[in-house]
Amino acid sequence: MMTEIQINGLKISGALCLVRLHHSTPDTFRLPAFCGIMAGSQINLPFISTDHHSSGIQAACCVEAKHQMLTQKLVDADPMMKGHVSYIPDVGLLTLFPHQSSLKLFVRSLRALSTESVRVLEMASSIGALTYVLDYAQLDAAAELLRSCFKLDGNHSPFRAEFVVRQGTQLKPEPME
Amino acid sequence: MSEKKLIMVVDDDPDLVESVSMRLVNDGFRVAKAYDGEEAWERIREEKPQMLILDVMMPRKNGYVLCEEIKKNDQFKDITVVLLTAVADAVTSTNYTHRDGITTLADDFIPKPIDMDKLMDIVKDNLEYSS
Repeated sequence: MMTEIQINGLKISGALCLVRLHHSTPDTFRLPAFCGIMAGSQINLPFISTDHHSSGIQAACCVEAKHQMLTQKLVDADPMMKGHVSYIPDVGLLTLFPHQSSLKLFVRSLRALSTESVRVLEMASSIGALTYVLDYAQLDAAAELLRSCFKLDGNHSPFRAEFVVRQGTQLKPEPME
Repeated sequence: MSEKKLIMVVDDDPDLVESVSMRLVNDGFRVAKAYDGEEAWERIREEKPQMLILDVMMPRKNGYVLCEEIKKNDQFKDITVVLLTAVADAVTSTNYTHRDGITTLADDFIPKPIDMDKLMDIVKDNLEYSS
């Protein structure tokens, strides 16, 4: 019988676009420049990961689906980026927490997803969470699948956030006397 | 030897909850965690922490509402509340603003991104006054 693993919650993102920055050497690593371009246009990156291969370093990021066109335009306008970036639209994030480097959590969740042929495009483990990048159309089914694999608190957080924070330019109010 | 004080960290960002919790444990506190306002309220009733480090923007019940409920409740009004105000100068298009926070009954504030050393100063100062 499988041991029960308790988690505090699962989160599902809205529709996103996966942006892959292709292999580069440490000297031509494009992620810092890409982040700078995104920050300059107030585009949030809800997911960032990097991985190292013998052929170099690859980075993957997500932007909101509605920012895909703008992201492509900004990337194409930058000679360092153009031709080294690819896009996968209609993806989403499925996040389990807390993770705390639990191999059992990772193995059980990944096994469940692969058994049901859920395509995992990227994954990342952070200090508090384990996040999968999946096809957006499969997010709800994948969440239900993982929900059946773990024990969730009765009063767990909702799966979907109720708000989205946008960046913008706003003048700081004058300090009150 | 006095019992370690219990601090509840409430934020819908698991990484923030984890990183703040690790620092608090490292500095000798006990930690409880919650990931939204409703869950926090339930756990406050169960565990009655001495302090709450409370995010503002959370699902189900935001930090301002939870803070007000705590401070107006005779049983829990002595819990020290430190609000994490993620509503930075560059963030717009949200229902939350710094000005909303001015009228809350929180004991202290710290802006995000969190300066951990500053947070620990705030935690220790406030717990010292409340003990």
